[in-house]
Amino acid sequence: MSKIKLQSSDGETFEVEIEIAKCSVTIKTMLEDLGMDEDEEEVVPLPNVNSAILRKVIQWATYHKDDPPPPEDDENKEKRTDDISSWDADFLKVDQGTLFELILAANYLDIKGLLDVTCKTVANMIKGKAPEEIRKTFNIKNDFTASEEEQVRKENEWCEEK
Amino acid sequence: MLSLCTHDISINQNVSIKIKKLSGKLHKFIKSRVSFNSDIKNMNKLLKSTRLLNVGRTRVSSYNVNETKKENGKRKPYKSAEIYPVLMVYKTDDFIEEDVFQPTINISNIDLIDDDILEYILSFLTVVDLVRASGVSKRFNRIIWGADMWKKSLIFDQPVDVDDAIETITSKLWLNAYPKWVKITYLSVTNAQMTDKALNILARHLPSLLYLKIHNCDGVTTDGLCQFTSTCEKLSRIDISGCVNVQGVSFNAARPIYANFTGCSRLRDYGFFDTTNCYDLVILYLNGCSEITDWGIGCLSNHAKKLRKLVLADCIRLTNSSLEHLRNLKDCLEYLSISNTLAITDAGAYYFRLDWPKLQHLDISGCLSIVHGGFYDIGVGCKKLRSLNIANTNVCDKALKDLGLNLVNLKNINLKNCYFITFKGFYSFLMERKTSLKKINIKGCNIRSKVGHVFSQNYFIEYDETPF
Repeated sequence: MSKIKLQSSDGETFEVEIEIAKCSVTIKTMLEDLGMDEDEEEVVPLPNVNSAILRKVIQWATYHKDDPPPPEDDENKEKRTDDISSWDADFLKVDQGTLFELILAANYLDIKGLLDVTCKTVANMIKGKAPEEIRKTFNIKNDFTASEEEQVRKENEWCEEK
Repeated sequence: MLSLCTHDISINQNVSIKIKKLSGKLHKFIKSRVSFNSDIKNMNKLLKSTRLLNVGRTRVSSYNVNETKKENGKRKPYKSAEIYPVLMVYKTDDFIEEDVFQPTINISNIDLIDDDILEYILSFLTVVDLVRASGVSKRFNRIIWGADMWKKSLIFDQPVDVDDAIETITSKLWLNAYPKWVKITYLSVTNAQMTDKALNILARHLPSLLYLKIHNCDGVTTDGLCQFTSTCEKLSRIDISGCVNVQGVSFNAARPIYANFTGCSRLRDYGFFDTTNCYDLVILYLNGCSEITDWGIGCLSNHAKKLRKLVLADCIRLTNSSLEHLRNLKDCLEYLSISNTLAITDAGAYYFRLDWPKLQHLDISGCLSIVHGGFYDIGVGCKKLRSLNIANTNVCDKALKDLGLNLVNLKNINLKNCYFITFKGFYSFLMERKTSLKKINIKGCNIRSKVGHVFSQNYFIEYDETPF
């Protein structure tokens, strides 16, 4: 199994199997575009991912290397957030900063499976919460004026459970 | 000029700053993401150490090159060159205001991510959570009420008044998002209550709906639903399980391929089959539609020539002549359930004896009026059967042996609670069918032997622990 080297933003290099690295569409495209010879000792620089996050991403990709390709979004299917596997759930028991860095990395590296599961995790943190609780969870500043907030509250009155 | 790129500075964590107020010349709001690999506390130190804040007259400008690229509506990842805007700090004299970096203390992880990722996260929420979240901040509000949020499905799964919700949402989206909003193809209402009123609004606003799913809504009636189906011509899947006040549906305009009327206990024959509008049906669930009679099944069998799956479980009015009618569907039907139809006897099961070339799955569980002859007829006529559910029936050793001899393709058989089967009969059935069988359910049977141990290597046998 041929390997390639990935270099994180802080200069650490990781050697990974090429098939695992290719779960990132960005890396896959890069390899194809550059026509990199698989036996060449080239290093792929990833200036947007630091070593801690890259290590996590590689761990995820290694575990999921044999997964079937994720299905295309089906318009008539409900998007579920309760289908996170227990391995993924454990994998994502990290602090919020890391979770969001993983989202950024998954987005940059274009790994749909990882992006989905991280975004679902964040969506689950929003679910069932009132606006104030959501603000607290993510440290979001309430930038509505009092009158705007009143208007929003009125519009959303039906959301209160009956 | 001093130019900073993110990876010039590296400490720990990404943070982003919104630079709101700049110099008089750059006073307009510039939305910009400047990422440092540093945590918040360290960043202030860092900024001091690099003397950015201390430079008395400094102008900050930034290039936000990571505009979201959308191709075919799909989000594209950023290329590496685009992901980090470069912060440039000029030493000039025409600066400026204080507190350029004021908001740094209150940075939220949410600020790190771009609108399109936030939108993607929010797209996993159902309507109630989504609308609630619109009260979080201006950014949430802008994204949630933007056109791109409402383009696929409308899912209500919490106990709210859907009538109010639909009214508010349609009026809210009418102006800014209407062109996309009308492309919503999927409506699902479970655990919530809605009436014909919401259906009316929806029919007007969502004429291109493909999939309607409304569960257990007493407020939905025949009139509301008929009006809806005559407007939404593209409707291809309809599921109104448990809407007990629906007596019929008109399919003159819409020609669904999938219809689920599970538990619509007042659905009438005339309400559904009196017109020739069920031509396109492929899958039909009528389980628990206790008003449906043989006459309705007759009409259905004459028209629905594409039907592949039909579930008639608990349609207690059906009698033997239903099966005679269903013979008309023998060239298309692959799945049939007549579970718990007690009025169907061996005389009805006789119709299984005539060739059913497509039938692969048959469920006659709980048909207590079918005894030996019926099972024999099934074996003779339904040679293609792959799965057979005869749980809770009076099947005996002899009948089981006949089934074993005839059903050469049988992979899956459910014999749950078949009290009349003895170990001897079961064993000879197994020996007969040992090459094809994959799964056997003998929970609650009266088979007393170590049979589970003998065969579990080859078959997946579900059995009750107690008899062994």
